[in-house]
Amino acid sequence: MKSHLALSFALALLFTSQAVAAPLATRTVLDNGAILLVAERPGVPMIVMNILLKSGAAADPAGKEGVANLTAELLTRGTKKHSAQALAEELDFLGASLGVDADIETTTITLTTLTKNLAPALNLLAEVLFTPTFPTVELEKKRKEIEGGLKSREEEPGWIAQRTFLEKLYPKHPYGRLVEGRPATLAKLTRADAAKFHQIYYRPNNAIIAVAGEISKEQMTSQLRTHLAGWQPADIPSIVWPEEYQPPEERITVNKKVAQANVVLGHLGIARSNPDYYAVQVMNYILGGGGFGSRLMDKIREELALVYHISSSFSARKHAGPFMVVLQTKNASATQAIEESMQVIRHYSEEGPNEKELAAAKSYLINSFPLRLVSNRDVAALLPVIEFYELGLDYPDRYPTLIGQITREQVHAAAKTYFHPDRELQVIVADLAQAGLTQSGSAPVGQ
Amino acid sequence: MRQYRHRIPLKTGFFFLGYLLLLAVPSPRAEEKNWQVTQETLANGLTIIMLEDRRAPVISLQIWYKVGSRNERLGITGISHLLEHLMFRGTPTHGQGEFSRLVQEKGGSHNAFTAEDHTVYFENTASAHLDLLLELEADRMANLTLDETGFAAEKKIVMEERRMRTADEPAADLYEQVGAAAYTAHPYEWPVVGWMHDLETITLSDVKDYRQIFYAPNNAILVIAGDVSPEALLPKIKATFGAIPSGQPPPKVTAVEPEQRGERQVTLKRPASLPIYVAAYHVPNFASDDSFPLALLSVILAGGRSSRLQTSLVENKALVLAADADYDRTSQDPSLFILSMRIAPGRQWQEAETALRQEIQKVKTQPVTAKELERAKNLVESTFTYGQDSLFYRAMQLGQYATLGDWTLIQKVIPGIRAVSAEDIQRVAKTYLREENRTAGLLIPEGTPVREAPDGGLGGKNIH
Repeated sequence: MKSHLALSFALALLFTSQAVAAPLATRTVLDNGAILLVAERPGVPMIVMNILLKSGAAADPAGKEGVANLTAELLTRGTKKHSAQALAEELDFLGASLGVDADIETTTITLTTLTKNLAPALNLLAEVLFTPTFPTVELEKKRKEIEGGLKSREEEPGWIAQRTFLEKLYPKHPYGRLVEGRPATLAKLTRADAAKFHQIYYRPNNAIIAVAGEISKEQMTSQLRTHLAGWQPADIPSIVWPEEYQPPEERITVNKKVAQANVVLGHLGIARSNPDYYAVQVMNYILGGGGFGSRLMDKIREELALVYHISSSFSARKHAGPFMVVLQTKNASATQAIEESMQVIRHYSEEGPNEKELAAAKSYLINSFPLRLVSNRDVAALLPVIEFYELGLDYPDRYPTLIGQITREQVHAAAKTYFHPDRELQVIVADLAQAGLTQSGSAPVGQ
Repeated sequence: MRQYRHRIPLKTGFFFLGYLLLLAVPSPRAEEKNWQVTQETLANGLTIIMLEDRRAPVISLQIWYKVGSRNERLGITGISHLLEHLMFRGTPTHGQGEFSRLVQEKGGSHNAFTAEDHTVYFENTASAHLDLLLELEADRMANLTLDETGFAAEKKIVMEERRMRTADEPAADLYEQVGAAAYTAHPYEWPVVGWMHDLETITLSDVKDYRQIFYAPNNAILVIAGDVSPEALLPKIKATFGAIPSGQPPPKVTAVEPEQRGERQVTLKRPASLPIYVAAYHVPNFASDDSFPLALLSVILAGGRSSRLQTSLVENKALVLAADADYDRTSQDPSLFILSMRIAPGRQWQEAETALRQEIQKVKTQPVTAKELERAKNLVESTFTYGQDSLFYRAMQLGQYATLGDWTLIQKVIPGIRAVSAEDIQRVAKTYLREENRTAGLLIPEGTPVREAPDGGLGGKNIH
């Protein structure tokens, strides 16, 4: 065994004939270009499959925002062989679940099934992937459902705060969009739009297929070759992403009759490919990603008792995602909580982490990693991410060193480089009168 | 409805499968292999449940205290949950924040939650850290520091939590009102988080007394699942927990909710996007033969994508955005079977109520088809299997049933579910889904006219 990682040890126990640690999964590239990652995990007679397509709402044509999401939602709403209802009944009968979820950069199809039902489940998956019919009747229903879902969310101050923040941070960038689209564009989408999106982007050479569960690699590969035989590759059009843009600092207030102010503070963060990613991960854990023991939790919750929840995050994606501090506090404490949080960040940038919190952060990150690779769900979720960001299947083995080698100076440097208190966006959704705040000049979200 | 409060907000916690507890069905093939359980009791009354599962060198350690909101009284509602928060404030040996720091340093996850019947603390780590976890849990069971500063702070934090989870969450706000109306003589009437005024007035002395009564080894169950062997484990538990003195047996909850003899209606008008309609019916728990049919009825009505309410109300009539059926057969005392719907924009809640009543009428007058019944049973069984993917969840199931008095009850679930007939389902629908047994809750977004009750609201509590 080349490492002390719990996962390697566990796999070594399972394959006692091997002297070395087994990799997380085996990687195969199918003839049609699909990348297949299979993790054999005996123990529970189930299989989890995640198919990650490398296209999402960012690929929506101008004026047709919402089509990636609509296509995803409609995929299971009718195929050549089964109506939406019949498909739902078949899946329920098998005790299987099949869902499609569109994000900004990707779309994920998740299939969970008992091992004994793999063949019929794969039949249904193939139908949904290759022969969805996008019935107009279903489209109208879905459209109403999506609109209703958006309306529903308008009652959530946290959602409004986040929406407003992202729209401000990414005014002309896909990360600022709702995957659902805008009411004006969603209203005009047709089944032809969905069919076209499906035809262009649902291609094997655009897909990463990750499987974890009680099945051998050989069986799984052979089953998939059979069921995905008709899946033809095609050129995937590339998207032009806008230039990175950091808006100037601004405070936006939204008036709502709530008991708590919902606050989002932040600015542009980093992309996953940034070489400082690991230093930033450690840096953020100490600030507010690590829950208890983090600077924000210690000060704003434990000491000042202003919040139940406060956290910080760097969302690192293909492009620079946001850095956000999110908190909720009674209206009357809104300004105090914001000022205290800003102080924490300023102080942290100035002095950097101490050795104790640095060691604790690294220790958590390194030791928790293998614990998040025990269940089939966890493994099936991580594998596409590893492939999407080209981290390599040895990533779990390299991770301890990537984090372990981070120094106090590197974390301090990361804090100085990646925090921008002078370019901060502050969004406050609150009962402004109770919070002692005035309405800002910006329009509320949804306009 | 079962309500769970967490010390750490859900998204940083570990609690993703808890609500499926009741529908646990072990698959016969794996049954022996799956339930390698050993039970012991220490001299001080601590019950120990050990589940051996060697799939990975990890453990899930949980301690279930048999105390929850059902043990409270008006004036100190929310005290169980507040005490749960205070359990993280430190001991003489491990000061404020040390517990979390020590567990996180090992890469472990940890959290706690309070419900009506129990308060549960849990940690998930590599099995190498068993000794640490035992020491930490035993230490805070016996030696918790309770001081005015920590107490004052934690009260404020819990009040923020209440604002977040209930005050600003329309559905939760409505459920709280429905619970308060459905129960008239039983502690399930008040919310787990407690009424706001009680939170403001609870004293440290109240908390100390409460802890004295309920946080004793004889009132606790220690569940350890994973890469453990009972032979090695038991001496360690004795060494850490054995010296904690037993307490007096806690007072029993003797309240029994009397039979409801007429419909109750609750109306809540507040900021919200869309109306919500809830129908809650009093039903028995696991102690009754009706509990398995009721569990399947909830699946047939609103579980899975081809359920009755999903098909009829969501898909076909587009009256509601979502319909749910909520029934916890593992409640200590009889609780509620709750149907809830979020009304679609532009639709009238009265239409949805009518459609719901039609569906209920159908299930009373016509037996479900064999295929539908089989489908529901398959869903339940597969959900259970998927649940086995999580060691934490398996330990939760054991803790839940052990708290009810007998962990082996979990092995009786599959025969119970499989034995349910279409006639059983029809029978329980007729018995329990009756108007006189119903508390109806309606959330009206502020700015919309409320319905007029025909005679001013007989028997109901109207909330404005």
